[in-house]
Amino acid sequence: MMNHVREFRTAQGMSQLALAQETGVARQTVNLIENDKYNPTLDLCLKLAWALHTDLDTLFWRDRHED
Amino acid sequence: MKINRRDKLVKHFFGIWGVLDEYKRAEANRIAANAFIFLFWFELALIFLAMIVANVNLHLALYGMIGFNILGVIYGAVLYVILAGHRAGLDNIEVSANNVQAVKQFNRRRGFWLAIIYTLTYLVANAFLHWTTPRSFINNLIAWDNIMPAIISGGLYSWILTFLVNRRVKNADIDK
Repeated sequence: MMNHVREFRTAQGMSQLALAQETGVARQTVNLIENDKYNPTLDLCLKLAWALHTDLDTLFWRDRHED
Repeated sequence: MKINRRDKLVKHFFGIWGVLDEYKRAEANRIAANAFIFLFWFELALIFLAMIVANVNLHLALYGMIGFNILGVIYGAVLYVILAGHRAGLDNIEVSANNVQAVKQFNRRRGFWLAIIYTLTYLVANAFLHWTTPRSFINNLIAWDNIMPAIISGGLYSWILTFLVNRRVKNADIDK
């Protein structure tokens, strides 16, 4: 699933490991999400949004024409 | 975070290091389901075949059943679980950059002790297995033709295991 996790994380100067520790997952999982190789559950999406001080729409939403 | 016994078993079975998060859990479930489907059809076909062979030769059916079971489980299911788990990155050991060498060194030290334990176990087991030969147990234990293969297999086993475990060690500080 296309997302903006990497942009938000780097903008906040956070490493993948730090974000992973804050959301309670492995660094590898954060890496897979950023590279669109794993679709996180809604629960993890929420945790990521909280950790990156944003909301679900900004982090994960995309319009139909972006497909 | 406290983990229950089932999670501990899953982590041990798939060689998962670190936190058992939703990705690793989902991959473990997928791999286990595939292995189960394979084993189900494999066993069904094997039983059917054994039933046919049993009409001709009962011993052949029995030994064939045992042999193909071992082959199917080890070379089919277990090998698939190991390879698929590795491909999904379940067995990665992620440590911080300044700990990578220390962890590899620790693994090598552990490998050395493993080699000694393996060699001694091999030697004693081999002496026991040659119980019926004219040589006594003690003579079997100090016989060069028993010591040599024990040392070689112990060293080889430990080297392969250390090599495989050290290959799993990854630097967690590099963002990919």
